[in-house]
Amino acid sequence: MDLGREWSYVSHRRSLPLKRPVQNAKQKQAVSTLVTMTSLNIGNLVRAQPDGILATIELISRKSCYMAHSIQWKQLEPRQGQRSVRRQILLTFSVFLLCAIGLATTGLAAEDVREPTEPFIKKYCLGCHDSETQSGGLDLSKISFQVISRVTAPMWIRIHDRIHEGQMPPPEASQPDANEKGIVVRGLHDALLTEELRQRKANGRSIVRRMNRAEFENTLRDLLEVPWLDVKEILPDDGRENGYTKSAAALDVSPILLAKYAEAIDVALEAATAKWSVPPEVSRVTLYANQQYDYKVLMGGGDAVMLTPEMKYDDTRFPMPSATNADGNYPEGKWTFGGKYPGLGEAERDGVFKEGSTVGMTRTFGEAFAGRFNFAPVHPGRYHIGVSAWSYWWDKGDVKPSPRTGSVGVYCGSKLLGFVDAPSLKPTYSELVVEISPTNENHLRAAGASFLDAHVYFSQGQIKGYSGAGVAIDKLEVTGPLYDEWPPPSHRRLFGNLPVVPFSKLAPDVPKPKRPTQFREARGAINGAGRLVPGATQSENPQDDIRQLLSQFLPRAFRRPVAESEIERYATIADKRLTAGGCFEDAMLDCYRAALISPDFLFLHENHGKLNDYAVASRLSYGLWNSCPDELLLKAAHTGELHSPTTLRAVIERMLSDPKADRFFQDFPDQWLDLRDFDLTSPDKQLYPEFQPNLEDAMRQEPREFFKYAVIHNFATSHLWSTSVNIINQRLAEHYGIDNVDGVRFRRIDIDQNLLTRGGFLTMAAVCKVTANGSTTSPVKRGAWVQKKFFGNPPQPPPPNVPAIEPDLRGVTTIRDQLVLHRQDPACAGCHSIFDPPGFALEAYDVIGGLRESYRATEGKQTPDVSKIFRAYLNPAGEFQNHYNFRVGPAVDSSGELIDGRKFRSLREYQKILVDETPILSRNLANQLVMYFTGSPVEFADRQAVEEILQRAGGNNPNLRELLHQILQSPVFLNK
Amino acid sequence: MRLPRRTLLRGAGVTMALPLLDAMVPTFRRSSLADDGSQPEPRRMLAIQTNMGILSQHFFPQTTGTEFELSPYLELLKNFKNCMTVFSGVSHPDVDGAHEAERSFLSAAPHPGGAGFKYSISLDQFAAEHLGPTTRFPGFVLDVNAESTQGMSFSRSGVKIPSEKSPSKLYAQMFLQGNANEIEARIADLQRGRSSLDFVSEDAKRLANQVGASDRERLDQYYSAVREYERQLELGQEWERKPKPTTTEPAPTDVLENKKLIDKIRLMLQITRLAFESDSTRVVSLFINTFSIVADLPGVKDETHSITHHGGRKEALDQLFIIESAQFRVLSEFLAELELSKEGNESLLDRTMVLYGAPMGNAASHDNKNLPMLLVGGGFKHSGHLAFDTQRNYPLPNLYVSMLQKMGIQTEKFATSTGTMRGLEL
Repeated sequence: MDLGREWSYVSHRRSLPLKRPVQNAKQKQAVSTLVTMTSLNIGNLVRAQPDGILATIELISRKSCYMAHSIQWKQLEPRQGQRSVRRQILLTFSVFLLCAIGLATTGLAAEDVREPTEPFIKKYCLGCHDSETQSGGLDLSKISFQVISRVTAPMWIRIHDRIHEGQMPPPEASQPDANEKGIVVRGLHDALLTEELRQRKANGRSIVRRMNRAEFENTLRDLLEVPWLDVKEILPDDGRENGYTKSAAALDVSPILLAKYAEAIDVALEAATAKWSVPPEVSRVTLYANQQYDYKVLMGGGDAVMLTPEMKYDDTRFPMPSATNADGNYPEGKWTFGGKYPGLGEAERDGVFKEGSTVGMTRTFGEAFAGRFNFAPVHPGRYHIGVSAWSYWWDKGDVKPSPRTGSVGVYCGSKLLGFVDAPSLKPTYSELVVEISPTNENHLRAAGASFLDAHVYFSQGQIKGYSGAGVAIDKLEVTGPLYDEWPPPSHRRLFGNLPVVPFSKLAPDVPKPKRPTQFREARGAINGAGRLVPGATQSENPQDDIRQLLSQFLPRAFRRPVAESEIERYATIADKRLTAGGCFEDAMLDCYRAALISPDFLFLHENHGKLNDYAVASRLSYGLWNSCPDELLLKAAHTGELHSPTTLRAVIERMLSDPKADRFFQDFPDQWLDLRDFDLTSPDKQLYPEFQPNLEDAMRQEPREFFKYAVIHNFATSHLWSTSVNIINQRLAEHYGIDNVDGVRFRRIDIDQNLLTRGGFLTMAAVCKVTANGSTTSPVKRGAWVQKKFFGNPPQPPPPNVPAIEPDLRGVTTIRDQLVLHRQDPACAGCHSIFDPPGFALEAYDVIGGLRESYRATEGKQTPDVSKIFRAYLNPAGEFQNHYNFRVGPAVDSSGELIDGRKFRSLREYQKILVDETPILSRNLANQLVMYFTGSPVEFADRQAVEEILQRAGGNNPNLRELLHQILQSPVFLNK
Repeated sequence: MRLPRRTLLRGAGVTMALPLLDAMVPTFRRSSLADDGSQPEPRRMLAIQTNMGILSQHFFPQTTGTEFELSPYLELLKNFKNCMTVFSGVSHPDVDGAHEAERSFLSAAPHPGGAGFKYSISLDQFAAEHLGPTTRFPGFVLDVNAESTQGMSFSRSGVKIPSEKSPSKLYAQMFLQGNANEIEARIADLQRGRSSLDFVSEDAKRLANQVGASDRERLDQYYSAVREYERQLELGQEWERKPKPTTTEPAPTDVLENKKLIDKIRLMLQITRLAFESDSTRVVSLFINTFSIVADLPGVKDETHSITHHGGRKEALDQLFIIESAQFRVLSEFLAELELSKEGNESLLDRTMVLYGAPMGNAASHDNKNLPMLLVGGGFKHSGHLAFDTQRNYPLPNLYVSMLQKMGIQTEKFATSTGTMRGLEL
């Protein structure tokens, strides 16, 4: 977790390279020059200098904000005095400079709060917050009394809140009377409000921004109707502000980004354009497991066997290879492939695999087994992939019932398509309907996913003596590519109803399109490109058609009405290409290319003040769908209906029930709770062998499924932190210790919270994972995460030069023991006693969210109770027989005490505390949602608006869907 | 003290863009300028992987530091002892999967054997992406004997970059003038790209005039980016128009027999030297596959992969030693040529970082830890033998960050890096 980055917002909106110190010689020199110019009128200085000096000022201001933080809020060692004085000087001047810039920007005076605050500060605050003591790292003796939005305002807001809430002055100090307090609080309140409102008058609450990566991809998918499009990965990652990739400050534009946009746009337009006058042939194929090369090799080695329709080991055609004797030799002096063949070639010639058959396997994806099938999609489009599979227990040659339902992972290349069920001894056909965009390595792959590596490798031939879980795959049935019509809808978006004429029917002098198409025919695949009839879109009346097509396309792409003159302007691009001898298709694509890289498309434009209906439509669609408005929504905007509260409510309801709303249900928790960082760490394989792809996938899906369920069913917000409702599938249930959940489908399971603490975001495996580092958990990180995400109260980053606690994997000391020492230092205790406690409660969960009573350690004497830990991998007798390599570490203590004295003995008890704090947590949730939907955080001037939203939504514990409605109908959302 | 607002904001907008440009687009004109404003010397990178491992007992030195004792293999490179760093106790975090790890050699993408493995951008492509049109070719991806499924260079989106096997084709690309029609077509393409950027930059101006100050700042940033990108396309056009460099060296004849491993490597290294000398590109990756061949070397009679699983058999180890020594010898020849070749007041070797290594620390046991890694040249302050913990390996991506920084690319992070290479000064 990068707390520094989070902070950067508060200190300065432009969060980019804050952490880069001012180092290069020129900049250093400039800094000192500016420092020596103390007596100059800074305003004149700014005015007198061209861009160069502004650059310097900008750099200094960034640096100073960073320093401002380090000086004012961090614990500083008194001995660092000299350095900090120098910094202090710099700070003072940079604040001064910033005032100058702030003034220059607005052209108005900033609010001065010297009068209402100075006497109070002198009387009650300077005793501790002077340059000597700097209690809490805060020095009020050299503070700027100019309140400048996003510059000095965050500090003044803190001061306001502390005094207003009575936290400062502290109880043991002398207290101001109501009148004194009132003057300061009112004075600050008014100044802050005036300052923010003035800023807004000039700029609005939120600033125009470009789409982020996900929005860009979704928009192209929806606008061009190419649901299989994958272009997100082409673009560099977006910046974040307060954890969100939804605000202007996080979404810079660079030349590299534009080059990547251009590349992605080319890919998208190519994918959308029909290149054939008739659809590519549909493949309908049955792929038997025993006819797949990877499976043959696996069988040859003895990690898989052919099974008969009666579900018995088929030892006649291709018996498993012989195991070695006790002396390490093979019975007949040499090892043979498939029991009797010296190699695969001989077995093939003998027709061993000619007849399709089921293959049962005891090895999952891993070293030297990719589970490839001999089909690789060539054309993008929709594919139906049926899998017939079942599970069993392999017992030294006998096929017995499996103790639980198994599963099969299905991939296209490296892309997960999904998991399907393999019930015990019951061949079951499941079908995945998927949109596939062929990549460079795109064989279909399928293999058992419900067991751990058997550690039986080929050439050892030990399977005859092996007992373990097995999954049988009968066959794959593949149909595709399927298109609803031809030319496909994507093509009609670009070319309307114009015909795609085969090249063979075009006169030789008709120009043909330039197409970069390359076929990605995969090695060893039985399918290829098939019979294709290349063709190109032709127009009888190019000039008219160009204008007609653009008048359809541009308003959707720009999400607003487009003037005749704009259409004409774009049309000239195509005209030029035609005049230069280009073909109609290329000419149109030139227009679309320009349109899609234009700021009209890439940026979400909003008018000043009250948003017009089109801007509202875009806010709604980028909020709830992460994409552009659809036709219905634009129509509603066109007729001016979106400003009617009744219509708006109906529109929001429709949008929430659209499958595209899944993007919101996924993306909001991802951004709010950092869940998109899920892949950043991988759990230690030695300590957490059960972290397999099917668990990983289920963990990734749970937050979305739960949040969706809670919104659709209008749960009270408190369910987000404590609930009996779990939305889980079999693998998660096994992981969580919940019985009788069968299959890969997610469904609602209600549990008794007093028996098992599961339910709500806090106990989710995905949350436990993103707050840990893969091998260990830290109460500090997790506690800070709870403070930041649930309470909206991000802790200050640690002071510099404090080393991180090195976790002890051997299992000798716990992180708690180590923290005790840390917290004995009063300088650390101040903050740690606030944010560690929730982390202590979460110690009950390991790095992948498993419940634990003791830590897992690499060393130690005591062996763990693996039959309890590995519930998903037990044999029919309920024992765990796979390989594992860890020991029982120290016991976990998940009790703690909050700074206000409330105690808890377990996570369950801490959850109850959270429920008591629901008013604060709900308000924070509302703030987070406002930030997500408007791209701008809740500021001082928005506080009243959020209170009103909460009131209208039902008060302290509003229902979730209602809360969404109230936010999306609030002035904060409906104004820029 | 009122300012002409437009001017100030225009300035602020551009300023905003600056640090980003610094970080992302070190075209030679901007961020790679030295502090005194002069053009920095060009840096180049060659990354070589030999995919069946290197016998560690003959590779790793027994002693550490700059005065390390040369191992049998490094003895073959003794002339370069002062400008090399040998690394031990390093590996890519979470890169496993035995032979599969060869795909992650330059990208450090975790779990290449796993079910949901995702390719990510490789070191060479990262550098090429950032150097942009500095040279005619952003980078060369080369291989010796690779199967079509093999390779180690991947784009940002995880697409494998097809590699070139033919030195003669590379020679033609670098030195023979192309067909005029093709050149015209490429120029026309770039021109269309430029026109559409020109077109949309007008939109940005129009929109900027309709909005408030903060919004305008964002649109100004877009505008500057469009202009910069357009300039890059212009450079691309210039490259198309510019006559290609000439060389006195004759075109190479491709060696087609896979077993002539060393000859093939030598040709690839020669063409790489030509590429660097002519500044046709500054980034080259070379993937060497020694699988499924019996190398045409005296004393070698078995297929390479089978003998890597030597089980301690002397005859297998001896053959491996012959093959690997020959590989080091040909590398040494190449390094010597680079050293002889001068650019400005430096040797080409000083300006070329050559990375050489293997994806397994022990091919016999398919161990992906403790990789044999070697860095020569490139203007680093080399450290001899840098030894790290062989039990808990030091992250190799840190070396890649150092290399990128040395290339003039301001990045703090590459893949799973945790910083820059400890002990190796830029």
